[in-house]
Amino acid sequence: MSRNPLDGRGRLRVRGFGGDADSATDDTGTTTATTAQRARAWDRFRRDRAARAGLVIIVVMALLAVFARPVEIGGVVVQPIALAPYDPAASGVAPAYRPPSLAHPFGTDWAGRDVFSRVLYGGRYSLSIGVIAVSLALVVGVPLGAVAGYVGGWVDETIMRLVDVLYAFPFLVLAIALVAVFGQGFWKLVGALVAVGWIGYARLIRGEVLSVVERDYVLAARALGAGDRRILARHVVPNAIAPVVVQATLNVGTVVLSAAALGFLGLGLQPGTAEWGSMLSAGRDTLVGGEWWVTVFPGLAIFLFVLSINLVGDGVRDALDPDTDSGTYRTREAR
Amino acid sequence: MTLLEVEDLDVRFYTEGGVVQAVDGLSYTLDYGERLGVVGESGAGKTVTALALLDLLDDPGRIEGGSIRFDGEEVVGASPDRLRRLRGGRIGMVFQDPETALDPVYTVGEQVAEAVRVHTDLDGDAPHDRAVALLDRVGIPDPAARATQYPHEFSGGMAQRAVVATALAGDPDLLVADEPTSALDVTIQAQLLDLFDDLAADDLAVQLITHDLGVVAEFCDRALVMYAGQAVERAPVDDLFYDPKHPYTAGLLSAVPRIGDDRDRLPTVPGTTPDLASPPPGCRFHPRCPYAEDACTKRDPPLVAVGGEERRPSGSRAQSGDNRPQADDGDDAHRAACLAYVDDADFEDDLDFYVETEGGP
Amino acid sequence: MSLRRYVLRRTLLTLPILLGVSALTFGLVKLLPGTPVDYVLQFQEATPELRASLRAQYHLDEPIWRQYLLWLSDVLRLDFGERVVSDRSVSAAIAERLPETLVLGSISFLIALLVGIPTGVVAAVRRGTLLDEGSRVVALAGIATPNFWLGLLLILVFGVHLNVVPVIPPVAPLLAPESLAFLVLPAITLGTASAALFTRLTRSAVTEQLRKEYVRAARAKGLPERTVIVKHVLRNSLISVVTVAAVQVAFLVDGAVVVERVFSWPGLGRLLVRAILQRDFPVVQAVVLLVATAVVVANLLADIVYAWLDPRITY
Repeated sequence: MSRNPLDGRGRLRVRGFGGDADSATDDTGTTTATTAQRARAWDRFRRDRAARAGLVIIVVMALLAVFARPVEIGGVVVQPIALAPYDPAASGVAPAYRPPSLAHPFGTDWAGRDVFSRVLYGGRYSLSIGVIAVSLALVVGVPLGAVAGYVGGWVDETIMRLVDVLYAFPFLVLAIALVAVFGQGFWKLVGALVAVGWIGYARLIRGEVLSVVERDYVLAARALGAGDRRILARHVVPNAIAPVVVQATLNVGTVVLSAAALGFLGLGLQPGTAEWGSMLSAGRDTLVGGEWWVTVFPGLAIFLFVLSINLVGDGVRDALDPDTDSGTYRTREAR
Repeated sequence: MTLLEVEDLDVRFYTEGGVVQAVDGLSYTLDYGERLGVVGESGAGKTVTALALLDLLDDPGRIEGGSIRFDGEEVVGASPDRLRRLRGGRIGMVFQDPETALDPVYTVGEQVAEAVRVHTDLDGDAPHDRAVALLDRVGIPDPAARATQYPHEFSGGMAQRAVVATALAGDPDLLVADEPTSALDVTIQAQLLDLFDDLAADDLAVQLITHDLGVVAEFCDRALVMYAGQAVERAPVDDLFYDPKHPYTAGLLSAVPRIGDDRDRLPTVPGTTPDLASPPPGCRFHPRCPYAEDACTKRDPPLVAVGGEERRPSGSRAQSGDNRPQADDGDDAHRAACLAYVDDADFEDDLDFYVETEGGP
Repeated sequence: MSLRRYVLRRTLLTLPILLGVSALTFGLVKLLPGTPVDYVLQFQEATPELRASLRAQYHLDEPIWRQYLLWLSDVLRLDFGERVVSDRSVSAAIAERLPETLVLGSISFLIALLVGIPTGVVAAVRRGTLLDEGSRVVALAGIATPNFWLGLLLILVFGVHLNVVPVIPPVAPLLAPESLAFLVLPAITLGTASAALFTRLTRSAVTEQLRKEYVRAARAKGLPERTVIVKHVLRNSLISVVTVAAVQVAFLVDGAVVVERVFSWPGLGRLLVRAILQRDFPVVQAVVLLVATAVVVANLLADIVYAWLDPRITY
């Protein structure tokens, strides 16, 4: 038995309601989705106080590193400023193991070198290694991973098997092994870090590509006859790249830590280089002897730099994919 | 007898974009065994109202005013204990998407059984047995075997039945169903409505939220039409369909396509739902209303009774031949929130829409 | 497929990876300038007979694939050859140091889990409060701190200034109270970064789950909040935490290499670094192989646990 009042009483028709006239077209202003998205993302990033602070610190540290000592390219002095009062490599500028003072704000180390100057100058190594190693790793990893994900088949299998095997080696252990094989030095260090670092990006972008490839706009592009390379470059990669950007930003910090760790172990740059990690390698002995400043200040520099990178990286992640975590909501516990 | 009384409910969301007035001054009642349909577009506040009944609003939403009285007792601001007894106990809730309403890592049987455990004294094997019985009650074939399966192994319709089973675990007096059929095929939808019919016959009150007028016609005794967080019309279903009083309701009805329709274009209600963070002044519907006048931009019309046909007892009471004078006459009255019906409003013209029937006896 | 067959299948799939790992380890040493013979002969008198016998011992006249297979068959019998710097067998050296690293690693891992996961859960549930914000800051700091620096600082504060813990490893059995007392600082140093990571991960996993509809449905059923969190949310959250836990094994190995150096803890990490500096390549090969195998096994276990936890995974 139906209870529907409309049954058995014929069809309903509403009359008189503006229904017979043409309804106004519903127009919502269309903005290009991507530009609006990017503007929103930048806006979110700007509002993230922690990320801003991180960015400021990084910029300051970079400037300090650049202006620490004069820079000469091909005999031409490009940058004449020397914020660091002493030559970082000059030993014996003061008695060894002097505690912090006005003349030497961070004290002196076992060779009588000014720790403050060394810390300022050391930023060059960490920053450059971090940025260069990550950039090169991206250059290697992203194309490999994207191609693997897009093309599939045996290309994908091969690359992924290689990735799996490399993944089994802990980052630092493999880097150590590579340094042992190929020796020490700036570019060998960077090379080791790149060889170990590209894997993460390859895997990441492959996963993203695999999911993007399923989406309608890619199918549409294919149906319209776009070539593979064009599809990859214009549709797939831009949409898949966001997590990679986040990861790369955060990885600068990881790379800096690893480079510092290698320096600490004596496997990094030439011994005696003013690299933050290397400066800590004699740490144990100096601590027991009471010369804490040799350990605290270089380590603090590493800490500050990596922390700032992480803040920026988190900010980038939240900006590109807001999960309403750090919201301005008034919160209340749900009962 | 009145089971649920909502009076002047006010719900706000404090968001990055401002304060959103999701529900504004909403009032309605529901009797034991009655079936109320809550209709409206997306964003009208239908779901928020339902969640407010059980204080299930997440941050950033809060109930800022009004009262909700269930069986005489106030729900707003009730103790956590009392709320837990209401939730799943006296008020059962069915959600829109059954696949996400069930925890993917536990069996369906366990999820029904845990509801049984909370609301009864059963322990040991008894809750599980009762869970199987409930799954049977909602029409799931081979319930004992199904109870050991996981939600992803259920089809949409079956999963929704399972969700209904969990809602019934505490033997509730009121079942709130939020768009229970929206995620399902039309044929499954019909089956589910049959199930609701079956359950409601046992004197279970149902508050059915939907955007589908056909479902309302099929199943409900009374209907509440919501727009932009407010009630714009409230009436027995018959009256609503044959004598709609609010322009929005008329618009909704005229937009429903029918087989054999000879119109060239489907009339739609022009425009889109307003931004609830800054709603239009006066009557919230006025920007889209073909009958809007100057007065409408200045004054927010209250929900008032509209004169009209004699009220007849509707729904279940009609079928049982119960003609007792109703204690709460007021709520069977046909009400609409439009200045056209407000006596001292400055409303000039008449609302000239009407419903005619064609074909039929 | 049942769980058993899934386990079997996944295990079989790791074999090619292990093979690849061994090949890479073997190949890496082959890339070194010179041969093991040269290095051994640094410490001994270089006679032609000795050279010839050493070449035979290292199979250096065989084609490379045969060298690999011979090496592999030795390795599978846990025979890693002899150290370059002495006559002692590599296996013995490793066996001596392995327990030390295992104990350090296990304690650190436990610290990381027991500190990280509950903190993450609480932070997510009490989102937006001081506890949440505070734990986020601490976690960020924990990840950014170089572990060697942290270790040194801890030694400075607790060892040198406050003098509550010894600064050199005691000469006592591994599980003796003095040894364990000494291990407190290294374990904290090693575990901090992982704990910080677990905190962030758990927090984000739990936050994500809390937004899901089944949580609201569970509350609507009248379940007490504690049940909702512990029974439903946690179980779903832990699924994503498990996979990362496996990756932490590799991370901890990396950390152990450094931390053992800081605290002079006689474990595998310290052995590895010494061996590299001394060009003791059989040791390097063996330790790297061992470590990589451990990582592969840990990932396999994680996959299995993951499949067991999540009924949606079809096997």
